[in-house]
Amino acid sequence: MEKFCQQQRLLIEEDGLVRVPFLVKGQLVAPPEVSRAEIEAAFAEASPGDNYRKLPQAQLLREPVIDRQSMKYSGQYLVQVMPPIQPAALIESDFKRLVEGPYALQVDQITEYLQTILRAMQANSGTVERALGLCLQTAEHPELLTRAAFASFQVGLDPHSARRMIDRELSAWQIPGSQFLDGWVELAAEALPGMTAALASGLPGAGDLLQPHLTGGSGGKISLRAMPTRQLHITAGNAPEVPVVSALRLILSKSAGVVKSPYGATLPGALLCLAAAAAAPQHPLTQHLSIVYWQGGDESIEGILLAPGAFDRVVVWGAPEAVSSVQSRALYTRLVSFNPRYGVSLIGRQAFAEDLDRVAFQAALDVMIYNQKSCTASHVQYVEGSPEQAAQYAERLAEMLRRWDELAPQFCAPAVRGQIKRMQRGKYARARWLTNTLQGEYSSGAVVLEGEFDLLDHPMSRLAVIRPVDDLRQALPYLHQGVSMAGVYPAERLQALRDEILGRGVSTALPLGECERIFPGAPQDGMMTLNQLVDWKVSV
Amino acid sequence: MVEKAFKLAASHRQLIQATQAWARGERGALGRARALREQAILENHAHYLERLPVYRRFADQEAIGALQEIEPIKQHLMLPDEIFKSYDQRWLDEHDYGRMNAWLEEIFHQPVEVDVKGIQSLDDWIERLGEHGIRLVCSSGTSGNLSFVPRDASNWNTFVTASACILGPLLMRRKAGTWMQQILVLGAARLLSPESFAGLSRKVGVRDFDAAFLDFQSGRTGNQTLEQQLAPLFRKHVYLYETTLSPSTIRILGRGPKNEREQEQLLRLQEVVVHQKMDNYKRVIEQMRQSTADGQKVFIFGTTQQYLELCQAIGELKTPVHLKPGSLVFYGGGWKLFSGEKIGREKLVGMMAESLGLPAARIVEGYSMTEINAFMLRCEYGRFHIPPSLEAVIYDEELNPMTGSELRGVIGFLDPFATAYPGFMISGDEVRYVEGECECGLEGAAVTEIGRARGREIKGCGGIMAALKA
Repeated sequence: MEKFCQQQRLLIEEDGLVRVPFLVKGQLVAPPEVSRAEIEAAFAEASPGDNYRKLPQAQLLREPVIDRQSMKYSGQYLVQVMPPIQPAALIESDFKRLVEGPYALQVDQITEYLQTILRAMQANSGTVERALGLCLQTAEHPELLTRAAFASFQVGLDPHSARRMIDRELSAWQIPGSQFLDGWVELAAEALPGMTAALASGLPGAGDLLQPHLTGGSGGKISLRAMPTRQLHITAGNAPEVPVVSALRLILSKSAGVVKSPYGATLPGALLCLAAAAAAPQHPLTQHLSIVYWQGGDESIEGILLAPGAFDRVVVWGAPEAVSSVQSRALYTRLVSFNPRYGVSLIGRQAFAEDLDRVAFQAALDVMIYNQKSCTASHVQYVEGSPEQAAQYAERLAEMLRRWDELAPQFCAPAVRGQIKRMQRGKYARARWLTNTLQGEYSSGAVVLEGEFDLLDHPMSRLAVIRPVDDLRQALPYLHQGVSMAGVYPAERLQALRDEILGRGVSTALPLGECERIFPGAPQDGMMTLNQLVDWKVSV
Repeated sequence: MVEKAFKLAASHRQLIQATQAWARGERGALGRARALREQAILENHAHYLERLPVYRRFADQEAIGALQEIEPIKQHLMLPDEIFKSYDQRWLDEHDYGRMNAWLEEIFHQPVEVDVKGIQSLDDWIERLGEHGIRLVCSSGTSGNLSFVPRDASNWNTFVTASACILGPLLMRRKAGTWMQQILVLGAARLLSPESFAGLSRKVGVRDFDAAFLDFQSGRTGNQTLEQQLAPLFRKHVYLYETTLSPSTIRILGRGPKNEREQEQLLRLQEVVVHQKMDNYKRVIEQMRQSTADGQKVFIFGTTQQYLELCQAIGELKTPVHLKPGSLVFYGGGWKLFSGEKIGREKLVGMMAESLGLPAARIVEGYSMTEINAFMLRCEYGRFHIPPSLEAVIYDEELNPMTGSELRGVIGFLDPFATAYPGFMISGDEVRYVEGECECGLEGAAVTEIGRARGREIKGCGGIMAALKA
């Protein structure tokens, strides 16, 4: 990996520029040379937030650098120079090559492949560390979280976890999923010949001809296989691991495809490009893997990639506009979407009879999941008690969040600070605000609202919206498919409310403070994702 | 108290006159208006401190008292437009209008001593307030949470007078009206006081025009309120929907029906705006043809969504409407439809010109919002000119005011004519702002591009009307 980097000056900062490679069907594609003057000219007229340029020979992506001392934009940008992409070149159309290549692999070969990638990363820890350093210049997540996310790549690529994911997510007929992925599995299915064959027995002379259908022969045999697919993953940048998780799912399903890295998390994808190209360039999984970037919504690219027949699956993560835009254009391709959702906490009145600080500590853990950018993080908390009790709880929670501010200071984008001001002076002017500040600026807090809260207003930056309710059941009407997670306190209330919470569309209900719980084979958004990514094929 | 009111009225009169002079293109009027505006804003600041609890609370928080300059207001005392929906939705759900009164008192400059006994609905409450001289104008976004902007008679009269005095000359610049009307309007604007000018405009009207309002016959949105004022000025007028779109129905549209009664209310509306939509457009189109046959010019008023539908309806009828030369089309409401679909200005104006047989110059786009007392017309050079009666401020993402003559950010206004409610307001619109002389002859501040700021819902009359598609 490092050799590639040194040879082609990849992932090395030079004068505020970083050259970021792509992987296109196994080929590492380095960006062309673009001078500093060309870049400055390209962004000369750009306003803040206008951070992308498509040149004929390259793509430029600039991200504002964050000064970790002041936790504000430094005024500098880190510019990523990336290759252009040819969308048609990303599409797999040689099915023979696919069937003989990645589709024919055994699960053991997949786990070996992951092991190879992992070893390459471990052997090139300097490269990984340098990519992390680059990420930290611009990452909006706290430094601590970004470091932890990089460290977690190791867990994600762990071969044992990978096998468990396959076995559990593709399990059917009480048979582990790896068998279906390895090849055909004959089922004791007691298959019926079908109505037509039964009716055909009335045809003159059909008796002998129908014999194979009705008894023995191929008539009784049924086999099932989890067949790989051609996948397009359009990922989101709410967590640095998302592009890696998407690539992992593509690999675990032995599939061919494209992962589009998101703005804000292109470097983890680039690391994977390097590792695959360096450690296993000829491996069928590398040969059919592409990791690239383009600006979301670019019709010249997406028009081709979302066209009917280009892919068998389109996986889309992200903001409402991104998901609905892809949904509306990929009408003829099966879509697996991770829609924008949010998390809630339900805190029973028992909290006030017990150790309120302990409860607030647990609730803060859930608020802090991916710095509240994850859909499993707690965004709105329903507290069973009077408004005064809710305010008392909010004070404790704000204190816990203040401690987190010290441990993992967060960068608040100007738009977030603007949104907080807007909320405090506007729609939620009557609410009780308990905000923490760092150097005079908002850093975290809780707001106690007696009325409804509009989720569109949520800044998702360590702000817990506390809503007092007389009975936790009053929170139930606010739970729906848009809610991903419910953390409940105490355990007996979780048991009592669990089915009602989940029956309304929420995906997961866990004890308060434990909402980040993960395990191989866990469903996401109500789906066994690998199961959605393979095609279940039937033959004899 | 009376003395203060007279002083405020005198300031406003001078400001309207100066702004009217600006609208006529008089040199030096801009500077005069600017000085008067700043004075009126400071007077409003003192008035708000005394009479508006919500403003006083924030001023106390910021330790701001009497002021000699307006900069601290721009920095610290601007309120987001959402302040007008800062009530608890449950109060409306539970018909707790006593608490709604208490909330209204926070943002209104007088005590709200209105008996809520017997009030059964939001519409009744608004009606009852009206009987006591409090005129609520509503606005809504995609969430269905209504904004309520309260005005009293004095504030309302100032709004109507200012609009008549400023819009009249601006439209004459666009060659609306005959040469005789132009001479009369511009002459009257020079000679008469704002009140007399507005009174004369109301009396004389524009009887050589018939009007078509692509809206509901009655209701409480900003556009509907304006249409009700404009309608009597014309020889005759027609509404697209000869029914009421009440605030409670708008709320149900956004929030979804909660019971059988609300379901029925929605079904009744859908019957008119979905099932009978084409019939309604045909009726309006037929009226336009009749007006043309009578030798009348036609004034059409609506939002982008309704014009799009009107053009489609004319297209379906296969015969364009050839309006009498001099007719005028006035539209606004943004370019992003509720469906998420965007429509380009050029495309829509082209469709309107073709369908109505009018040159594009006769199709005028306006920009305003329920919370302010002014209109901005887009000139032929693409600028929505901000009348100097309004102080516009552009804010960055963090809601800090920016300075400069060419800016992009969220627009806020300090509106001296907003005496009954907090008129120092940050909108949810992101604009490109420019200053200087325009080729059209007007000078001062203008915006050239308008869109919703990130994360802000589509709102306004355009939004309400577009939502009816569902």
